[in-house]
Amino acid sequence: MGNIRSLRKNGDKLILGGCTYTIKDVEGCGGNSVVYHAIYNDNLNRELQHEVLIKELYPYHPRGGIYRDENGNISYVSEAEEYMQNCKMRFKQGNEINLRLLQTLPSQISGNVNSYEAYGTYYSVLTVHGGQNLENVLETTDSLSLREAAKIMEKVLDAVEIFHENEMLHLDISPDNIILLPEQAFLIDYNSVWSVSDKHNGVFSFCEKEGYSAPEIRLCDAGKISYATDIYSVCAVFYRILTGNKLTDNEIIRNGLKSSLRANLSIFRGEPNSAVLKAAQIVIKGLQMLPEKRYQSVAALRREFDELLLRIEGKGISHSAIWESSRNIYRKTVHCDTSYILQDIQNSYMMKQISGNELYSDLKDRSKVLLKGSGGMGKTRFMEELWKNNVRQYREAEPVVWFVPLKEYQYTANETAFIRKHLLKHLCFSTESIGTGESLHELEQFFNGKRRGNVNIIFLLDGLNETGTDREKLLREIEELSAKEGVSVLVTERSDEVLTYGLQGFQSVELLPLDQEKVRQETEKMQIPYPADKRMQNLLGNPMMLELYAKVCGLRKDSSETQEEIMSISSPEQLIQLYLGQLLKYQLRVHSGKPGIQLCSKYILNHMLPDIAGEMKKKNKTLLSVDEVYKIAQKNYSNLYKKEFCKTFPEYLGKSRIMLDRIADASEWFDFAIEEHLTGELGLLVKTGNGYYGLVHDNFIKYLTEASEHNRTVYRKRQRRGTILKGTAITGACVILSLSVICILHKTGIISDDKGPSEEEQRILKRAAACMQMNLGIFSGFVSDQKSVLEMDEIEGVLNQDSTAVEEMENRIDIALSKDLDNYSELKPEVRDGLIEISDFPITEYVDLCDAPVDMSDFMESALVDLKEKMCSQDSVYREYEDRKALVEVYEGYLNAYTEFIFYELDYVSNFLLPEQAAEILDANQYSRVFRNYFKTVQIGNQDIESIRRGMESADKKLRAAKAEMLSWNYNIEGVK
Amino acid sequence: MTKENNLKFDSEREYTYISSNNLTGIKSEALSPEELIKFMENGFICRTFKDTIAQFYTEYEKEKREKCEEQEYKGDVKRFLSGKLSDMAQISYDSMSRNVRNWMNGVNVPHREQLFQMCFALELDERRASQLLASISDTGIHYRNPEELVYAFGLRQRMSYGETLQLKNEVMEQYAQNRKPSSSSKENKEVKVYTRQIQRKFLDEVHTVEDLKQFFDENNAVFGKIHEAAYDEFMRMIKLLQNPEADFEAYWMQYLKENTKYTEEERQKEVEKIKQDLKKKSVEEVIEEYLRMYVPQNTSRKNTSEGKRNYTYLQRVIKKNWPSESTISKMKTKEMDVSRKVLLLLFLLTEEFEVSDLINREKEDDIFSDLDDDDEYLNDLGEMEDANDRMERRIVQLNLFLEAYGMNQLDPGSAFDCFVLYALKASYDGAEDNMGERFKSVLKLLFE
Repeated sequence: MGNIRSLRKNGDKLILGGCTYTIKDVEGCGGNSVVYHAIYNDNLNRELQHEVLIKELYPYHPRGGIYRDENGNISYVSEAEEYMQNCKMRFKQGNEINLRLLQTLPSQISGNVNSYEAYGTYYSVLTVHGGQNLENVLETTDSLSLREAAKIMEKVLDAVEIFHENEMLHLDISPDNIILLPEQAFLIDYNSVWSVSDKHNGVFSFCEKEGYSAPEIRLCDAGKISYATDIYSVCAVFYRILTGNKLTDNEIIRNGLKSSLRANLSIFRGEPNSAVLKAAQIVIKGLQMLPEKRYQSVAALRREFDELLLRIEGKGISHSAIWESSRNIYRKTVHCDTSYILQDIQNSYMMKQISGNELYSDLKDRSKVLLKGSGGMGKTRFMEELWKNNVRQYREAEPVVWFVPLKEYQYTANETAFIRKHLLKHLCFSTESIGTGESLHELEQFFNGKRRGNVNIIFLLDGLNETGTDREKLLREIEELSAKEGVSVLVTERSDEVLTYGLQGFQSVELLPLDQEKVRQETEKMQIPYPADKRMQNLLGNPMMLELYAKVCGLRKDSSETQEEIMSISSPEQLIQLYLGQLLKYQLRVHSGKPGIQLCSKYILNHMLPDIAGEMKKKNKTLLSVDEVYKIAQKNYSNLYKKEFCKTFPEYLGKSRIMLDRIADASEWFDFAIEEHLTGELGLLVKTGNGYYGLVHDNFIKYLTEASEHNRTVYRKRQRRGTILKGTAITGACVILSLSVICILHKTGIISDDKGPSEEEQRILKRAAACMQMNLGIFSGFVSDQKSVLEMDEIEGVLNQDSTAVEEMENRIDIALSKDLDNYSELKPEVRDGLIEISDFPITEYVDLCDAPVDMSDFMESALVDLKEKMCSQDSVYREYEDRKALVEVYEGYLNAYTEFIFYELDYVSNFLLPEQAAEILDANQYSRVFRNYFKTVQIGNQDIESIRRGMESADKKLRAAKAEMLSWNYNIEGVK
Repeated sequence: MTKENNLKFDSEREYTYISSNNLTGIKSEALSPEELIKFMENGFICRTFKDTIAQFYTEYEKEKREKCEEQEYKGDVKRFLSGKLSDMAQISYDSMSRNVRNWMNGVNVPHREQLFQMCFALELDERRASQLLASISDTGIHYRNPEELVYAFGLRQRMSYGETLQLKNEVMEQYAQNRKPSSSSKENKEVKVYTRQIQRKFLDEVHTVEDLKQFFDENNAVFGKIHEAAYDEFMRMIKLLQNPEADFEAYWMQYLKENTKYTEEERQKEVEKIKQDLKKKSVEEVIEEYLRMYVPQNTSRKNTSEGKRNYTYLQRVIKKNWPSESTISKMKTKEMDVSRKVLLLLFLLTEEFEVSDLINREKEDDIFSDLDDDDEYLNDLGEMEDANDRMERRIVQLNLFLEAYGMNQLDPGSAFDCFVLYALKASYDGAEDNMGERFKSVLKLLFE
């Protein structure tokens, strides 16, 4: 006899119970049995056949001790008798279990048609189910997804449950004993099945299967065998599916289980973190050494797999789905490359300081907090840190943290449920959850729930100050949400003023600046110098300033020039300016040898970025849409082809070709400048999740807006220059030398015979005087035009909103605005240079006087337009007499202050001109409508320089005050003098 | 997939009165080392040879009664042993009686041959014989030992000792003639054959004398006294003790990356420096540092005027076969089988060095980072455990460990095993000590 079992051949006939079966092929060979695929004819329709499986008890004996004889019967040698009897007993036992279970649940147990003793052994005729053995599936499939694995396990659990419900333990669960069908799984091989009621009787024999048998089986500890023993094996199967390997002693004995469950297993790739965690949790708990520490029932384990599937699919509103979304958003939007600096928080109500962790604990428990702090104090960073800590690892018992950038509210057209919709937008819904109404309802249920004493969700609402003007609905929503049992809210604002009329019940806490000790520590850590200057030290208490300071130091580490510049900083705007300046220098250095790119960098930083900020300021928003930014980019792009623009900024003159060499059109320029540079490389623009653009910090807006205004001013000046002076707006064009004036000048000693300028200097002075005089005339004309509006006879009618008077005013304003700078006299460079060479000549004041008409023209373009809007527009809000009067008065006040200032400047500069020139100018202006009153009250020519300077300073102060007044009445004159 | 060995075991764990008593005593409260010693000296009931043999003899007599066979010795186990073994060993009854008395009084324990003789005398089957051997000595039947294989066969076939001896001589002669060397080259090239594999084959294939001879023929080359799997594990643990920080390299690199501003090059230099400081220990240093544990090396038992100690029973039991430098070296070179005692000691000592968790724990891949201190999460995993839970878990793991290497499970009736059990529990009672340290502190008290 050999040691190989001799199987029945295809076509062999087996007569069992009077029925003749024909063997078709071998379905499989186990250690104790062989299973054949067989057919038999239907008794009625004899031409048709039934398909069955026939299980033949034929234990493997390595020495061939159990064999098939020449008659086809199974025989055995005496030495193998005991073994054979044992196998027969177990076969019969397994058959009995199979049949009993079939009686109870026929659809869920592998079918058993009949069993026989024949041919020296036992046979069972079994139903053909189709399906595949799980072991085969695992060996032939490259990889299953986590979802597929969970689905398989649910089927396996259904199969196991049949046994447990009938107080039986299978005790031999392994992939080769699991048959998978599309809708269910069967457990086969009942040889180790054990009735729980038999636990205390007799001696038992079980199968130990490497990688799947529970410790109590391996250690023969019958007292510990329970339902949890099967649970262990089920989880061992799951482990096999997840890792592709059977459990080994390393995992079990040496606590290597956690190490073998890595996030980079192929089955976990691309799966939500919460799902990966749940899968690992199932394995860890299911494979606990002690049975009482495992899942105690199939139902308990099934609940875990249900939860796993929910997490995989990420559908619906569940704690894990929301957490998963929050995490994804965090990863996409937050890119902090600096470490977080801990800051103290002052609890205003309780007058004590708390830490971030304490605040978080309060939030977990349910609270509503307003976190205030000035710009750059780190409010957003603080929230991002809370967010980061929460999304690092999924914890079932912890609330989900959901971050909402409130600046996005600006673009929602004042919608309701902004926060809720923000959340829902990021969740994936099943097809069952139809329509927003249903999902909102689910969300409300989530908000009303708690988990293990903690709230379900903590909203981090960042930037209430950036929501725009109309935020009543938002405030209401915040109040509603904070009233929910399962919700905590933390909202940031620059101040807590909102608490006086909204956000009832919110406690106010303040993020405190860094103390100097911390600033010192941080500068040490960053290896940057701690400034000696107190103002700078205080400035660095603001984390954003500290960060900027570090960046500035980083950009030009070795530059002593930078050190000097840094030491002179006393305001955030100066630091921002320095930073942007250094950033530009750095870019130029990086792109050294590529003049085109260098110019682009310069252009982007000096023009495009300020324009973006300017647009934000104009629209009173901190975010711009893609369209809005695109328009700026478009304008920016086309400016490079405009001669006037390039003449104004001559560094770009003739350079458009090299700058835009690889840029075909405005949209490519948009990509290059906005996306690649400002957003990407430089990080000065930030794109929100909704595709809006904002500055990296709104503290930059002020400085950049001013830069934008400056650019516009310069450009406008340029636009009005270079044309031939024609006509005159100068009253008293004839230059008459007035002796009296000359005498006055002599008396004051201003005119001296002792010194004399050189011929060249005289020539220069002459030209300078002429230029100044020409422009002063235009200036006077502009002022006069405006006064004619403000002092019109019908002004009372205008104040009373008389339509005729208003119309008249409108006309006058239009006339005034129609005047341009056609006659403006540009100061030639050689004259300017010549004046600079003249010792003590007050070039600044002189240039200011020459530019006076341009400045006034700018002023008019803003203020007059405003005045027209306020006084003449149907939509004007200024309806009250007093208000309208005040508008006129402050305007006039400004003009007067401006004029007075110019007068004093004129007085001052005149002292440095040649006597005859001075006399000419003074003479020309003493009769002007604008200046004549000053000539009456001020002893021009009779004062010493110091007195004039004092007069100038006083006039300057008045002018500033007048400007402030105008601003307070919402005149848009931010960028003017 | 073929099934593995079918296991038979009784419905109730055989916790005798002795085991229950001892286990209860150790589990009941957080004993200090002093309290443990006190318990061991007063409350502990040591399962002696006498207890074990009495238990087996009782079952033997019970079977005889059930078969209505004559009980020759009528409950007198000493006479039984003396009579039966003297015949088998062919020595005088009186000599054997003396031996038996010594065994019964705990003066010494029988050697393997004598234990097998007892198995035959008690008509034990293969399984029960293995249990008896394991209870009294370190291991049950050693299936790589050719002589013990023959004895196992004899017991399986219900042969007499004499018949088995004869067969043994015959088979061993054949074995010696045909013996193929298990050369180092073969060991290096081939996959190692573990004892359990031999055991399984033996159970499945050997049913007749012919089978036995053929089995010997086929597996000649792999017989040897060395438990291969146990040897591998022993070597792994010894290496760990010799160079405990070797596997820490990856850990240190990670630590430096997270906590310093070193560049990659600087980090590597730092780790090299650390490795230099932690040079590999010699075996002698390992013994001295880890395995000495205050257990004296001298074997003198008499308290003479020179001041040598008279050891108590507890001390003797612990001291017996305590690994010395010489035994460890012999185990390393495979001259001697790795003993159960050594394996247990190494397991306790190396538990803290199992750095597989640390080595491979790249943060991004680690599913469990940040959660290890979360009580609620640990509860969900079933990992929240009190000291007793942890002890129970460790017992299961240690038993699986021993069983994997063919050694008998922890026995609360054995003094040494009780110390081990104590170490398993005590190390997690909020104390900072690891298992090895706790074990050591008990021995220090015992021997000083």
